[in-house]
Amino acid sequence: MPKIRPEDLEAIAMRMRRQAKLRDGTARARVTVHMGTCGIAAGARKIMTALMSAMEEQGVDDVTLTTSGCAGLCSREPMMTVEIQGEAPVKYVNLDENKTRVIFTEHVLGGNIVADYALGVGSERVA
Amino acid sequence: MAEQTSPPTAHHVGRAQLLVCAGTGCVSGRSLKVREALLEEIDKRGLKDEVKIVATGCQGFCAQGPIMIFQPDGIFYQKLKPEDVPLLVEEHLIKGRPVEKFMYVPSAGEPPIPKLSDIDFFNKQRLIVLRNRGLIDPEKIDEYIGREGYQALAKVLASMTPEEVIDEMTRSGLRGRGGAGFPTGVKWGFTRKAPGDDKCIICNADEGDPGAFMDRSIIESDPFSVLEGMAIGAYAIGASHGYVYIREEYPLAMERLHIAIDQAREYGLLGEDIFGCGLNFDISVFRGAGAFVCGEETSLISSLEGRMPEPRVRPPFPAQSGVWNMPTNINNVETWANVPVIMRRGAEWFSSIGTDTSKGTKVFSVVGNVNNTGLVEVPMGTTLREIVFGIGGGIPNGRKFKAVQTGGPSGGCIPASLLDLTIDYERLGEVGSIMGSGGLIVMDERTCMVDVARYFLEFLVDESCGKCTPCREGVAQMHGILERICAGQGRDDDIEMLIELAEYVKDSSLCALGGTAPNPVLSTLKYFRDEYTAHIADGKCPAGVCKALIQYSISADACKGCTKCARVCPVGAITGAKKQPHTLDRSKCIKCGACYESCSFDAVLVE
Amino acid sequence: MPTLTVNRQEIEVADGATVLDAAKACGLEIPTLCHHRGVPSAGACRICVVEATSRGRTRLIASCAYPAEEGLVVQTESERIKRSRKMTLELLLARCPESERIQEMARELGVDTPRFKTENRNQKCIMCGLCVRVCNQVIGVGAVCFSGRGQTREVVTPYKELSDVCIGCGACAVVCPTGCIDPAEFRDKLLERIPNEFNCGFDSRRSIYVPFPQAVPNKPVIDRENCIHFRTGGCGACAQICPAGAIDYEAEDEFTEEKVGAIVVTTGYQLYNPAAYEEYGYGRYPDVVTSLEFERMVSASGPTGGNVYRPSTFEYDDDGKIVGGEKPMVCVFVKCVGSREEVKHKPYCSNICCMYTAKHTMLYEHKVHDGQAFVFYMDVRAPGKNYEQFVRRVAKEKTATYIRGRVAKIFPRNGKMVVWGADTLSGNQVEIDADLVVLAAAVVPSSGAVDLAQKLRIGYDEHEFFNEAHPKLRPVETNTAGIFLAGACQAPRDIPETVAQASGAAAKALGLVVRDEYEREPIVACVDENTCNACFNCEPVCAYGAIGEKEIRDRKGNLVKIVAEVNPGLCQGCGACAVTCRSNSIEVEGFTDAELYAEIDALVP
Repeated sequence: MPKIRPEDLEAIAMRMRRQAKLRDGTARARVTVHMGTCGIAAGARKIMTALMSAMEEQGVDDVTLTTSGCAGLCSREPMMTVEIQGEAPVKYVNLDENKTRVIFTEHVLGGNIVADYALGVGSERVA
Repeated sequence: MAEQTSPPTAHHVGRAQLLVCAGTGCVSGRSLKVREALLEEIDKRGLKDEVKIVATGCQGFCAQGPIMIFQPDGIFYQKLKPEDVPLLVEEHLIKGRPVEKFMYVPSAGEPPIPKLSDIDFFNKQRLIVLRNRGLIDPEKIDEYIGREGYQALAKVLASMTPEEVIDEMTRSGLRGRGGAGFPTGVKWGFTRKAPGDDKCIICNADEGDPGAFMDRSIIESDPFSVLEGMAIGAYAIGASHGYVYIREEYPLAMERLHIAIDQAREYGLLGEDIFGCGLNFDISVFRGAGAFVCGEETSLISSLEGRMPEPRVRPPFPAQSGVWNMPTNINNVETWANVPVIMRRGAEWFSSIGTDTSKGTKVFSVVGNVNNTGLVEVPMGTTLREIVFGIGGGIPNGRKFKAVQTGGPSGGCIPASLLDLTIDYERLGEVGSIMGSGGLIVMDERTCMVDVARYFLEFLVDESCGKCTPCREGVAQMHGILERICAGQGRDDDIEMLIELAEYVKDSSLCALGGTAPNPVLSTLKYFRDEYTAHIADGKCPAGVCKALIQYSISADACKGCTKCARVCPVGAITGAKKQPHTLDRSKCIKCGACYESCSFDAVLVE
Repeated sequence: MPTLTVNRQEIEVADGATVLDAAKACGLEIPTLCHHRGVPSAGACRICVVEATSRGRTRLIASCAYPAEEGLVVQTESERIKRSRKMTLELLLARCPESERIQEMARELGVDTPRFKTENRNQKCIMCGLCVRVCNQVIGVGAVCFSGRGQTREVVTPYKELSDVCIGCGACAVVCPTGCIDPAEFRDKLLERIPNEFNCGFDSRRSIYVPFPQAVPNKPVIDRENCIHFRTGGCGACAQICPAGAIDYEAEDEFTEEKVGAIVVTTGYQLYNPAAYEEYGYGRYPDVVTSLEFERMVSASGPTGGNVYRPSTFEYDDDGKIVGGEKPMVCVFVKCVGSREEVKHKPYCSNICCMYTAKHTMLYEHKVHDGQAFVFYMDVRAPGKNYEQFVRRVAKEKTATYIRGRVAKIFPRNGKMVVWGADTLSGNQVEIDADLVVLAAAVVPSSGAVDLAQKLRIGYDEHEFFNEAHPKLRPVETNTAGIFLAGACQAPRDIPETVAQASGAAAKALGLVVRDEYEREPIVACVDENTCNACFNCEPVCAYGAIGEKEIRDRKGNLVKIVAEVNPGLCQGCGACAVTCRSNSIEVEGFTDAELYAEIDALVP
């Protein structure tokens, strides 16, 4: 490893930023891939990988990626929920990798809901 | 479908990171086994690319170890066992459901608290020194740099003169965290001004107080902050070499320190021409053999030079003539770890924290009869009550608080009436204790203060180097008197003699070990004199500790006949039928107290 | 040069001085225990505490180790100081109740019996560490150290094994304030004994020592061969400890040149080594000694303190001093060991043996009252004044049995020395089981007599005794003018004769130097400076050292040539040089070749 100079610190810090954000638990958006048995069977793992690659490629460091169990709508798996901080969550259904990338670019990064793939806005009421 | 997913890169962070504590406390609770189980489980489930397991330094909540923090959700898991891992992975990682079973429960009956940030133990603390604890992998310099590491050194080297650094330190009001509380900036200034071609700085990591582990944890969780602090100090003082004097009993801290030094050298952050700014500075690790007296700086120097650790008369101070007669600046681990933050955020910011005379925060290791034992960092000026009851979660088993002992073995005991004392160097001194390096031992009503004084003096008799007469002979005589009192053979003039000896030892000893050795006796005499009188005049130990002065008995009214006491009694002194009041045969009783501890109905009486 | 205030008195002290030094300079007494002038201070015992105020803070400090700082205000007497010292002594007394020094100091401060008790391991050691410091920091050896800490601290050798690095300098014992160190306990072997030459090697001495009790000057000398400082560069204990600072390791022997008018040679004698008599076993059997060795034994200031012991039973203490032994109950004196033995040894009579052997038998009787003495003799020669009477007294008082005859063999048997001899008066063979045999060895000149004789150009005989100029008429002069003889260097002599001869020699010498002028031999050699080519062949042949060098210079002082020159005061006119000179440049005045030829010419026309 070469000796580093003060300006190199920033580069290293940038590289570590996503990790730091992840550990701090501060994020602008949160994407939940529903990974119950049904979701996994329908291909949720690919969705997850696609999301991770997209984040990696675009250097996104303010989005939290997480999983949950079955969302209850097994017939339309794979599913994911996008929550932008301060906005209502949006559920997407019948996903594949392409759709996922579009949603990530349009909604998660762009802030525009991709209506074509969306199931609906909001979440279930919890008693 | 085209292959759209690219393989994860080296700096791939995944979607979740499990921060498993690998501090000494948790490691001894088998946290490494938990980590292994996690790795195995994640591998099995094909989550290797998504989830990262990070071994962090001590997170401070040692009472609950092994602990793990699940990020990004911020869920705090505690008391994990390797066999819990499959369930945890299945539930939380796959199904996204945090597992309540492993969460922290503040007290029985209350709901568990999932989030780290909601737990009193964590959210009442203010982290400066421990800013990176649990958040970085202490064996990766990149992670430290990722959290603003080495920014301070870069700033100092690029834009400040050594004098400006010393001035900044002085204005920050940082005082030595090793115990004496000497202003750090002033100390640096002395060493800088001392004549000498070469100078030396030392990080004192010889943490000798029983029950104290602040320095160990800092090195284990964030070794780079110490290295960066020392590099800044080296620049300010004009030193080309630094030593970390660390005790042999800290293998993990030592290993991490070595890794950190190697990585810093690779990056050129130690060695010649650091950052290309012409600073030459390197650090060696010296393994101390762990004598308490090595915490005293002249003893430490003597030990570092390969001689027997014995203090010497100052002056000359180490700043004038220290290791191999070089002007030497010694600060302890916590002091050094404060330096980078102060340099990055400025003296004004730092001095805004704390009290008039004591700035910043202080790390305490809270141990003893308290629910949440562990490492806490609070601003100076926090009350003892906040630490013991707020952060510490109070006294277990519903018992009453009796006293808190600060400053290690040569500190003093502070009674309940002074719980609202705001902690800083001066206040602690006023009540007859010391800040010390930050040991804080909580004692409940079942603690005998004479016995406590006896215990600490036993430690000090053991650890006195024996060089000067007052400490070697005087403390031993005091210990003898306390032993006598605890054995029920106290004499009427014993208290007077204790005070006379204590004043003498304090006044006449060569170093601070002797100078503070009488503190446990003087402070307990000040606040708990009635216990001494009870021992001597009435032949009773009010707390029921001193074996020679107590008798156990079983209250026939309270005893429910659960047989628990009879089962734990090692000599079979307790007899009785089920559901019938038991009886205790005093002729067999060895006063071990097992029955007393075991009884759920307070039916075992001690008098 | 810092200035400080001690008991309201301002004093300026040297750089590097301690508060104790400053107090001493003010004439104040401060008690100390762990302090020694020559050893770096540690401030360990805390007896020397005083109150010192600097930067507004008054503390008790150890005056022996605290530097005298500029502006320091020191108080050496106060209640606080007294309380501290008293308690320190009370605690030390509890630890070391048997130490007299501690008892005494405690008593001075009003502590009689301590209120405390300590389980003692060492009844005297106060753990002050002076011994450790002197050994490590002054001597540089490190044979003693502390082990353990606190209550378990003790002064030991490393690993508690007997030390093989201890040099036995004894500095630890010298500095120990309570006198509880015995360096002998540290060593793994007895130190190499340095035999005390003056006591015939019976006991040992240190490598710094006064050669003998009446030495002039009566000052110690350092034996470089054995001194640890000269051997290893370490130690230096004597210099550290000498209060007068008189030890100077740099000092060298030097040659001094004096011009003198007369020399009296008094180099004395030594004893013939009786080992030459193999049958007597001297050197093999310790209980066969020479008369000189016996003389040292009976001397009150000798190695045994005047006691006569059998050397084979000597008991030594750790310092190599003889403290005991077995008294010889039967003692045999053998005279003429080496004397009057023409064939193998010395043909002459040693003159003094008869008398001193008689004396020895008397001294032996004084020391061992019920002892039995036998003397083997050839003749008893007692020609001096009252000598015969003295020998008669010995015979009359029966202090010894005189047996006329020689001893044939001495050998050990059952712890005794068996002496086989002949009694020529009765014609019987004699066998004596002796405890001690004393050999009256012959008197021979001191070794080196020949070298000296050649240097001084004086004659000596076949036994290396110096020759007088004339046995009857010039008994104290030598053939070389200005050199005189006195004592046993000329022949075996006893004390009265030696004193008489020495007085004569002194008078002769004085006769030379008190005169303004003196007569010389009229017939001396002289050099013809014109022809002398400075070959100096004349120099070695001159028996009187009369040939010197002369520089011939011109008026400006430039050296022209060097020639031989005759010192007419030394020249005896023997003419050896004239015979040797190849250029005929040196001739005896009045007897030159030219003169002789002229005489011959006149006689033979």
